[in-house]
Amino acid sequence: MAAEGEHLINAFDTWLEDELASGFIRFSEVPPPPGAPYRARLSPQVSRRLAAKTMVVVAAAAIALAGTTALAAVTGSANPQVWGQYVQDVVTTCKSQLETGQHGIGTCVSALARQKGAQQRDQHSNGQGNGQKKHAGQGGQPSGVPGASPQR
Amino acid sequence: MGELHYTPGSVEDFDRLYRSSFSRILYTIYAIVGDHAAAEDCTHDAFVRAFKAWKTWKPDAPAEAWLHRIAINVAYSHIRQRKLREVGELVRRLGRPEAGKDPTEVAEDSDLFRALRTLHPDQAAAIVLRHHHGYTNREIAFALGCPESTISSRLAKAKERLREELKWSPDPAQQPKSPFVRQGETGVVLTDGRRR
Repeated sequence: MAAEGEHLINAFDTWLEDELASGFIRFSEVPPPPGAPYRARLSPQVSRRLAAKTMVVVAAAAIALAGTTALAAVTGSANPQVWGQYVQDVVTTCKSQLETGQHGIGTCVSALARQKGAQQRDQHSNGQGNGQKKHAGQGGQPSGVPGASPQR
Repeated sequence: MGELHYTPGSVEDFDRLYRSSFSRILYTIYAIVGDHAAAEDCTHDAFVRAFKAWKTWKPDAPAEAWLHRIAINVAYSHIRQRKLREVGELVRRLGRPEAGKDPTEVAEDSDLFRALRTLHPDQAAAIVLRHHHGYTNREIAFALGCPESTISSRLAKAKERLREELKWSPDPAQQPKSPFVRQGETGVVLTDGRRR
């Protein structure tokens, strides 16, 4: 009975971590707003709030767009099925790197997503126009191992 | 949590911290407040406050956990203000039909995030800090400003509530819906079951 309860808790933890990692991929490819906005020395509070609101609207729109655009850019495909496979691959790779008892694959997911994005951008800037784009979702596991493995 | 070396008061170090932790802070706050615009607003405010207080940061506490503490406090204030606004709205709206929710927000939402929002903000934050960011009990305690000895029980209670809220089952067929595409499915499944 106790073993069954423990199994249930472990299964829930696994599900929870997968879901959180999948959700984070939409955020991890979004760069922070440029220009260190926290340094802005707009002393009147109203001006600061106005600037913040403008940034918020722009950034929210960017996140909404970037969620899909980032996945499309990273996978090199406009097909949501490929994105789904990509998300699954990233989560699987990161989970396989967790040691027993460790939690949280956020750092790994973030690093892997950034790495894949950079690889894809390099490929595009090198003019890979031979029609042989390699899609992460079609090639199985994402290649490479992120530099920073998750730590507790 | 991987910890880099930072010097309190160093603007360059704060810039580095900003770049490395922005999306992680944003994600935690999103789990607490539940919408992108509000999460962005809170995250921005948190970085402004943190920048002002950067000289006072003590390296014995992880810099990102310190940032999380500030950001979570900003999120609490936001939730309190939102509740007050909602009461005001409710009074003004008495007798009138409620406006529908933005369909984009609905499509992006998942059962997990909806359930996280039913928890106390501390509980939602603890779950994301442990199960996504991989924080230790000590780091979570620092981010939440509570004793380390209470973290394990807080997490256990939070997960129990979450399982109940989600009516979670180990059977994948009965598990809550995610806004993400699962293998073998065609199109994006919206939270109301439609596809696009």
